[in-house]
Amino acid sequence: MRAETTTMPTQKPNLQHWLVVIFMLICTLFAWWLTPQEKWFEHLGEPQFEQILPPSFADWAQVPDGSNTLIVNPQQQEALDDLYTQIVSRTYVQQITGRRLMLSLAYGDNQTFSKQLHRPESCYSSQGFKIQALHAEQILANGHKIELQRMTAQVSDRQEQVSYFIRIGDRVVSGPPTNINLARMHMGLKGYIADGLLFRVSEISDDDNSSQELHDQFINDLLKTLSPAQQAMLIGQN
Amino acid sequence: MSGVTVLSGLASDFRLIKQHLWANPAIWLLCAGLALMFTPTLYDLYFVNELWLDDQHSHGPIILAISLWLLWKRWHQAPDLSSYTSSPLLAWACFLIAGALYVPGRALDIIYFETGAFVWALAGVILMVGGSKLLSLLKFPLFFMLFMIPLPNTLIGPLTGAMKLAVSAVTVKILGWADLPVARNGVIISLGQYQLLVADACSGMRTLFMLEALGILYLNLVHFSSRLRNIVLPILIIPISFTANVIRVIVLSLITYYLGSEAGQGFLHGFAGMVLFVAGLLMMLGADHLLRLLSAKLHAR
Repeated sequence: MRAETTTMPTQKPNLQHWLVVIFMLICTLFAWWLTPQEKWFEHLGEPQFEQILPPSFADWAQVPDGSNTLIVNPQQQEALDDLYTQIVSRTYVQQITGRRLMLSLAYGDNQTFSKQLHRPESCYSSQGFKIQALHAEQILANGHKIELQRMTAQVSDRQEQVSYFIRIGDRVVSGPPTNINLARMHMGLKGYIADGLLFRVSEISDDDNSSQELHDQFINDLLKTLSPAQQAMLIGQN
Repeated sequence: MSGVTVLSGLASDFRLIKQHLWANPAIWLLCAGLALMFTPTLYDLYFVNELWLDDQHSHGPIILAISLWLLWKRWHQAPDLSSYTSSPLLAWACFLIAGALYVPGRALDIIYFETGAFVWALAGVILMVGGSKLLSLLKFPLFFMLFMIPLPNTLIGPLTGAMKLAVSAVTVKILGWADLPVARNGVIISLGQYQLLVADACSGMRTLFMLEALGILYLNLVHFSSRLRNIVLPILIIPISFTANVIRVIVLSLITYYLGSEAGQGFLHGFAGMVLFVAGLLMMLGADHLLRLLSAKLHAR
């Protein structure tokens, strides 16, 4: 009996153990207190991209979508619906030249780990496109500095020139892919759950320079027709 | 018969847990602290971000369950805690690391920080109760738990892409040898009138994780003395899971080609997944057998 009782003390909670539990409690409460509760889009008012984007403006007019999907992939569609809360895809024609430009917006109101929007270079390549000449370029559109990502996507002998930007919360993300996460954390520290918008324009063309000029022209014209509040929904306030 | 043994085994486990609980209130107090910290994480993994229900990460809960079971079994091998002395300093170091990972991980939704913190906090509890001696007894279950941490997409993405390309290339080569009308463009395989897209799921990253985890578990349970087997088998699992995925893509291609695309997308799609896993396991066991023969030969010399 006595021998047993002498081994007991090591197993009873001592001050140290209680301190550990208090430390754990503090961590839990602190993390809970830091966790952003308000969604950024609720703070701003949810953007309705279908309505914001005018069917015609400047020299551009919307035309019925030509089908440009190469491969039917039902799983892909399901994944898209899961990932994004709004998807807008349109084709615009520049009246004087007759050039067709495809516009695609993908918006997700919650950019947490599993619902983060996908960067076009990985989407295109997972659908069999070869990505070339991926680079960043800063443009000035309606007085706003925007960092665009440019790339050429090729499948068989078809080349698509793509320019895009991603807005997370209040700003357009620049730099390497990990910066999307940093932008999300920045919004988190401000107390908001970030939303995310992928804005992509593209043209089927072999001439990357002239295509990129067309993209820039389109973005510039579009921003000019929108009100400041509508512009902010595309490119953020900064 | 075996059902009864399992049940009585469970009952005796339960009795042990109860005894343990009364005899070691300190341990259970610390475990309650762990539960307080990580129940929200577990809830998120299932109901909020649903990562553990997702194809890419669904091995997480299996790994967690196996680790906890191993932890319990190993810990039980050392019931006499009086011979173990606590290492409070090391324990506090672990708790601080866990806290530093947990708070930003939870607040800013960095899931690999948050889940990683669990392993550190658990190590802290072990050190606080039984010091480094107990930790070294339990180091395998702790290490095994690392497999349940969901990895960031920035790390997995490029790897997945490269694996997919390689799987498609090898598949097309083999189908070409069989004189089938096959061609490839990136990750799209054209076979006869069909175009097949090799999806992320076919890259084999998940198979690799599962097989790697199972292989390491197997090695640890069987407890080989041979260093050759313990080191070479985990390395061999990488090409094995790659081969298993090539087999899966080939099986799916052939099903689609001969039975139509509905067969390829329906029940047989899941069937091919099973084939993949069984093939992987068999190859792993085969490789282990060869290694055993090899190491026996080396020792005989």
